[in-house]
Order: sequence, then structure tokens, then C-alpha cells
Amino acid sequence: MTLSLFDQFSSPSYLGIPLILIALSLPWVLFPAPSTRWLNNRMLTLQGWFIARFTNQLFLPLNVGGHKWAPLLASLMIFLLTLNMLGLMPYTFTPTTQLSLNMGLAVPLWLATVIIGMRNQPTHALGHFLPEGTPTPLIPVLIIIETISLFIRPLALGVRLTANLTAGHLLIHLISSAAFVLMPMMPTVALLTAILLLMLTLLEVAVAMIQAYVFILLLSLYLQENV
Amino acid sequence: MPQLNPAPWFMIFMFTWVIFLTILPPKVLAHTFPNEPSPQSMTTPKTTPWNWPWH
Repeated sequence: MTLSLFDQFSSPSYLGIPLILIALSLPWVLFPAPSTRWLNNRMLTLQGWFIARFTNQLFLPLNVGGHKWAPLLASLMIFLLTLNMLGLMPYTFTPTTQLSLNMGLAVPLWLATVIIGMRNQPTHALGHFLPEGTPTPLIPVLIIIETISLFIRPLALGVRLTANLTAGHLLIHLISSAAFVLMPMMPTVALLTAILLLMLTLLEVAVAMIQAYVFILLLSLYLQENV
Repeated sequence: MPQLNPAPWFMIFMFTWVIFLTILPPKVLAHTFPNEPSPQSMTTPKTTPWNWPWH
């Protein structure tokens, strides 16, 4: 069977063990448990600083009722950020390129925000379907549009993360193959391609962080509407 | 696209949530911060001026 460029994304398994399990369980070795000392080492201090700052900034616009989501969203941020960043290293597998993982995270969390809104304040939650000041003839159309946009949210959340990371990895693969193949034939063009690859890698680092953040931010926005 | 192959979907879904619910929150919550945030007081306390006895 011919190898296509998408084959790097098929969930690998070795000796019957799906390797995604290792890709999902090993990164947490990088987050050691803080000691009971007053001052920890540099890595723990940095991780603690980041978690605290991020959670603070994320929950500023939310009502107090939404603050019980703080551990969940902080864990999710660490989860996605670590998986995205580690996947940029050579020979690693990025679990967040799997649509199953992203949809599996997006759909339950989005559904949780919707159910919370519908249970605690159904009128307010349903009121989002009709923005204030809509001209009367537009009301039926707008309700349909808002319903569609509500149901598209989990799809968009999952697919956005998957597509961004998949596209990034694919581009890195393509351009590095091009640079490698061009090296014996046209070294100058290969050098230019290598510079392009360097810039692309920097972009991918940024995209990895940004996409994780966007996921969480949108979830917090959906929570804000419903809490 | 191999991501669309539904065979490992359920396994990936379950395993992700197991990791996400069991391993991560303890690691995140283990970071404790010693400074309790206190609200800023509205009144500035009255201070009486004093002279430092330098000698």
C-alpha cells in the first residue's frame, strides 16, 4: 500500500498496544508534585505561576457560579498545551490531531455548559436565541440561525483544534521533505526551504499554544453565557 | 484521513477522560499559594508621625 502524507496521523499501535496511550500518559511526568517546602525548584515555581495567572485571567469575566470550573479548565489548559507542544518534537505523536480526542473533549464540556444554563436559568439561556432589538419579521429566521450556531459550537471547537494541528504537522512534513530532496540538486533552494521550515516551526509553536488557549477561552465564554 | 477511522474512537475518548479526570487535577491542585488574597481596605489607617531616634 502506498504511503500518503496523512499516514503520520493514523493512531499507531505496536505489538497490539495502541501507542496513543503512551502519548497520553507520559507527558505528566513533566509536572512533578510540589513538595511541602515553602519554595520549590524553578520548574515547579514556573508551573505554579503559570497555572495561577492563567486561571486568574480566565475567570475574571465569569460570575462566581462559574468559578467551580476553575480546576477543570486549568487542567484542560495544561493538558492541551503540553500535548500540542510536545507533538512538535521529531518522532512524537500528537494526540490532539485525533478528531476523536478533540470531539471527545469538546462535546461533553459544551453540553455541560448548555445543561447548566438550561437547568439553573432556563429563561436566560433560551433568551440567547433571540438578540435584543431584532426587527419582528426577522424573528423566526434568527431563532433558527441561533439554534444552528449553538449546535455547531462543539463541532467547531473540536474540528478547529484538529485541523490546525493536523495542517501544521502536514506542512512541516511537506516542507522538510522538499528541503531534504532538494539538497543534492539545488542547495540554494534547499537552504531557502530550510529557512522557510524554521519560520514555519516557530509559527507552529505559536499555533500550538494559541489553539489550546482558544479552546479553553471559547469554553469559558460558553460557560459565561450560561452561569 | 486516518483520523476519521472510527475504530479507536471510543478507546481514545475513554482514555483521554480517564487521564483528564484522574491524573491532571491532582497535579494542578497540588500547587498551593501561600498568599491569601485580601480585599483592599477602604480606609487608610491613621498614622501618627514619629521621629526616629538616630542617636
